[in-house]
Amino acid sequence: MPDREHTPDLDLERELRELGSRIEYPPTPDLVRAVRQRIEEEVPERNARRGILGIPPLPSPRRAAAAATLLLVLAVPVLSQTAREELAGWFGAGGGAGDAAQTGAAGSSPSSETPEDGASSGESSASTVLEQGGVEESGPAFRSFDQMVATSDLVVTGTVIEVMPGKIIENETSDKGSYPDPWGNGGTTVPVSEGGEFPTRLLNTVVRIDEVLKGPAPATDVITVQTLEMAYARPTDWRKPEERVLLFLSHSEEEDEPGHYNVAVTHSQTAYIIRGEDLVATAKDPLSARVARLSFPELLQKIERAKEKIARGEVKPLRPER
Amino acid sequence: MEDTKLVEQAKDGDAAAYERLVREYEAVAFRTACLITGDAAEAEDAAQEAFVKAYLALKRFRPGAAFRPWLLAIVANEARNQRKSAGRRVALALRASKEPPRSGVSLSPEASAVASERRSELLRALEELGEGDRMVISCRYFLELSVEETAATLGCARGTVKSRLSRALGRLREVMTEENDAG
Repeated sequence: MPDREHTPDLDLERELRELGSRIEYPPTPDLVRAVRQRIEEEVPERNARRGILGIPPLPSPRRAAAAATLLLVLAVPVLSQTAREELAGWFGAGGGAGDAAQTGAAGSSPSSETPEDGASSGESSASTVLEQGGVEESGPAFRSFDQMVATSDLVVTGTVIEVMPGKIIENETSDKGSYPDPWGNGGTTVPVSEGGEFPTRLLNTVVRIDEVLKGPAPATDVITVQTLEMAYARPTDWRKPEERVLLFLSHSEEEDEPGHYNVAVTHSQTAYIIRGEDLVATAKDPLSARVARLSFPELLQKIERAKEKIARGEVKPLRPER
Repeated sequence: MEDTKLVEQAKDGDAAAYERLVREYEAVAFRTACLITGDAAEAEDAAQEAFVKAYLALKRFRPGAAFRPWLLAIVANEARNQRKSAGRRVALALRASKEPPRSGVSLSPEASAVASERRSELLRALEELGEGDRMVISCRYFLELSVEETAATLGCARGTVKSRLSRALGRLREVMTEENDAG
């Protein structure tokens, strides 16, 4: 039996290195052939996609917000050939900021490749929830993509112009402390409620519509999307200026004005960031993951199919509990 | 041939150049993925996916940048995604060979037994650590990654690697001390 008393405990690093030289890993598989085959399959497909409908980037969020409820109006979706072409052009022109922020391998993109600058390695997979951004879906959730389309009055791609804080949803006052108001000038605070929870706040995110995937299109190309957010922090998800987004929206119940929308039923399943050619889900749930894996042509196709099913009465919207 | 040259050739569509890069780094990519996923099949999938994604992103690769840390960042991310998809915690099941390293010095049977027991203690103590501690130690000492590569793999700043490593080693010492006291 070895005598521990005589085992040196110093130079742990040297011991670890020595141990490392003895670690038995599973045999390394021959990846060359598999990678070659995958690339041969992927590259023509991507080239074809870009040639017909070049695509750009979508990405990601984090949230602590709840869902706004919706007023449901089934809309007849119309996506004209012209709209498709414009959309294709938009995606194809995604070379600018889009490419720079590309996901997938791109997230760890060479141009921002230094992983220490934060976004690179952590957000590098396109078809998944953001490393730090996704949340477990809670509350009402869609059972299918078709149902999400059916529940949405408006499906758009767009660019966030501005995020403006709205009113705080009041809790009963308490002496349980407060936090600095992230939207204030230093003098205001957000109180902790009697029950220990934090209040929520309406956020108005102004979005310029790039393309309407399901309409009817609003009268103007700038809309306001209302969401709820915990009041003690600013959102770090899609609600950021210049973020490009795919949103599934419903008419706002809060604002009886044209151009005001809520995310449809559930915040996190219905908001995706566009980054490069990819969508990044903001919720950790199977539906969001499936949507994030869609290429843009596939997304269009699925929306069109959903519309057909809706028209035939085969899909019903998800009605929130009131 | 230098990575930089191979990368440039691969960017120009030279498949053979990229295959040389895959060959060069498949082992470190696979092992890195193994440490993250704790599963050989998932690690293989992650490494393969990472090489494909890296290839598709080559055009945006900054000329002159180091390929390996960039690749490892992608590998690590893919491996984390694989693990998430599997929906389970990593079961670190590392084993150390009892054979001496090729360049190792022959020990007496008694000394060899002591060293072997010490290695087992280290592995047991590592299993007690949190994932973050295990990973930073594994990257630096088992995979022998540089600080830059470790940062890429862990998705943190270079400066953070040193502080994380220092804390992880401190905790490893604590665990070993506790186990020795208990034993």
